[in-house]
Amino acid sequence: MKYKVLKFGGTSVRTPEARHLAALKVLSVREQGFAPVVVVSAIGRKGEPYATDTLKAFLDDVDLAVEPDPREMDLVMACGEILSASVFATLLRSLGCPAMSLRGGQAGVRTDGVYGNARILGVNPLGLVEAVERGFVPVVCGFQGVWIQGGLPGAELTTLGRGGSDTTAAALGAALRAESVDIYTDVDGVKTADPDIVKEAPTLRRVTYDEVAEIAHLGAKVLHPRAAEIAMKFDIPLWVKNTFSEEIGTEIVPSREMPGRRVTGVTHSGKLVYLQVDLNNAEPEHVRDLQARIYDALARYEVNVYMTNLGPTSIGFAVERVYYADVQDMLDALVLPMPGDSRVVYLVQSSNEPSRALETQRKLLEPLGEVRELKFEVNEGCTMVSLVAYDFLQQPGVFYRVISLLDRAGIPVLQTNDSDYSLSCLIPESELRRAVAVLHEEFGLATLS
Amino acid sequence: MAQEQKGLELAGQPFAKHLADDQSLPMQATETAFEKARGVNRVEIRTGFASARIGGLTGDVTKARLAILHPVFEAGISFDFLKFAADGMSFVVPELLREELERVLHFSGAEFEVKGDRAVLIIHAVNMRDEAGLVSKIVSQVIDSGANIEHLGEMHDRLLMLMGKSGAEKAKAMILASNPEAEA
Repeated sequence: MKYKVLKFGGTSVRTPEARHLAALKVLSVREQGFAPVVVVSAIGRKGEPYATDTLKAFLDDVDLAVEPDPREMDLVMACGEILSASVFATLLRSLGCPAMSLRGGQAGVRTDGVYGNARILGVNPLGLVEAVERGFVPVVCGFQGVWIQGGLPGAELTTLGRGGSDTTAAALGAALRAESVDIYTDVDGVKTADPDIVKEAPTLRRVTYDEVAEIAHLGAKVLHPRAAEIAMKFDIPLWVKNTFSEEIGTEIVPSREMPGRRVTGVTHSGKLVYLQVDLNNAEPEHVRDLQARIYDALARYEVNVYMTNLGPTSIGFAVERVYYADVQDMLDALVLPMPGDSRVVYLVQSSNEPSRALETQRKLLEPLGEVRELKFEVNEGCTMVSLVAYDFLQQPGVFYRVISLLDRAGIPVLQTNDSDYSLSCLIPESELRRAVAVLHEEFGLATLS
Repeated sequence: MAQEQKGLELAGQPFAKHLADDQSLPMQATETAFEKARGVNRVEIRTGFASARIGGLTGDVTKARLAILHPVFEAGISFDFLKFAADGMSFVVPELLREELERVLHFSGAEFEVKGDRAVLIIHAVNMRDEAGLVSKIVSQVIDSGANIEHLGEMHDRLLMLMGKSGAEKAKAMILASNPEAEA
């Protein structure tokens, strides 16, 4: 039996019309002689009645002061995919195609016991195989699996965290040794830039697993890197396609199949806040301790940082705007005593103006030693624009070309970050559209495909 | 009721054999390991780098930085890890190009320091962004090891940190000790 896994995201199952188009894709695959295995996400996007975030709010709203139990949260969040799978299976049946919905555990998805962010340990595909052999199209709930544990009858339901449905699809594809895994979404594939900014941005016909993972890492969530990781490991052909068009889509391939120097695209992140603290006020022998304490605090509060910069006289990092208030609270009036006999105590000011908490803390500390402030300079209106490339950025002059281009366009670059696959610039959010457009043009991406 | 007694019955045959998601179902031989363990998977060190730090820039610092980088570019020197500071910038070049870089920077008239014998500590961690606080934790651990991180870069599955060779060895040992599943 030759299997094809088709995964439909929230927008692809959002309306009866969308689901009908998705169902036609499944029927088409079946008519071609393949055994389709369908994976679905919850219906709709954030804010819509059956989307995961809406379901999550049922528990969040019970007591705003108390974080819901993650086990209960997983059960509630998984309802979105169960509903979606059942609706989709019923639709396929109405079109004359025998179909049955399966929960993640029934499809054999086994995970560890980390509620809310479980990792797939293995997939037992025998249930799926049997369903197919009996003539059914399995419609599997994405984003969920089970943790086999002995405490309770049955297995514990777990959810897979970000990119969970893409990950489910790739894992099932690997377990079934599928001919392909097709991730259906509402764009034609992986684009050279956000089409909302660059209308003529072409769809890439092929891109490597690493490039697509880097694109996702830098902000364009076309395909989750976890899915790419699994497909790459098991050598399963992976495609990104559009439910609403007949475009061929983008094939995700191993690097060995796509050698050659190239620029892949321009991507951008969401809203960021850049925080930078000047350490000139610190004793030189305290700098390393201060760096360690600040990063330790960020780790303890599980803060994701971007654009990290460590220098002898400064520390800088960016955080997502939605988390900035938490980071500000966490850092503000943080007391950093130094080891040894030092009477110097450092006090962190995390916003441009000192807070009451900071003033209070300072008064309390003054009798104990010398209080020195570490004042963060905060730039709230930032975003990150990135050039993603393969075997290209190591060439002399590329970095210079990017920053001088942005300078000529009058776009300030606040900080940079680079890796083997990408070169990112932190810029004012107001300049995002121009930055994406000029980089796209400079590197000739409009003619790429 | 009849269906409950027989188990799920579809197409005329009992269908519960492989669909029960309870622990009575044995792990099958066809089961395959999938995702890598979360957190740090591998730690490696690459050597052969030099780092440059330029300071003392005043006035329009952006223009001043570009004025220094332009001859570097003209000389065909590839640089990475470019980081901006208030009064300058820093970056990394291959050790082989160190002398050439020093020559170019000398002619620029800028205040600079070039250090050789640098190493890049590479810490692999799949999907770092999904592991909240992981980057901060690694950075904190590396600093705690006594290493002096001079530059830092990241991509989807790894964190790259420039430092002296001995610091890189110490940091590698510390990261491996706190992540026993990681490969060296």
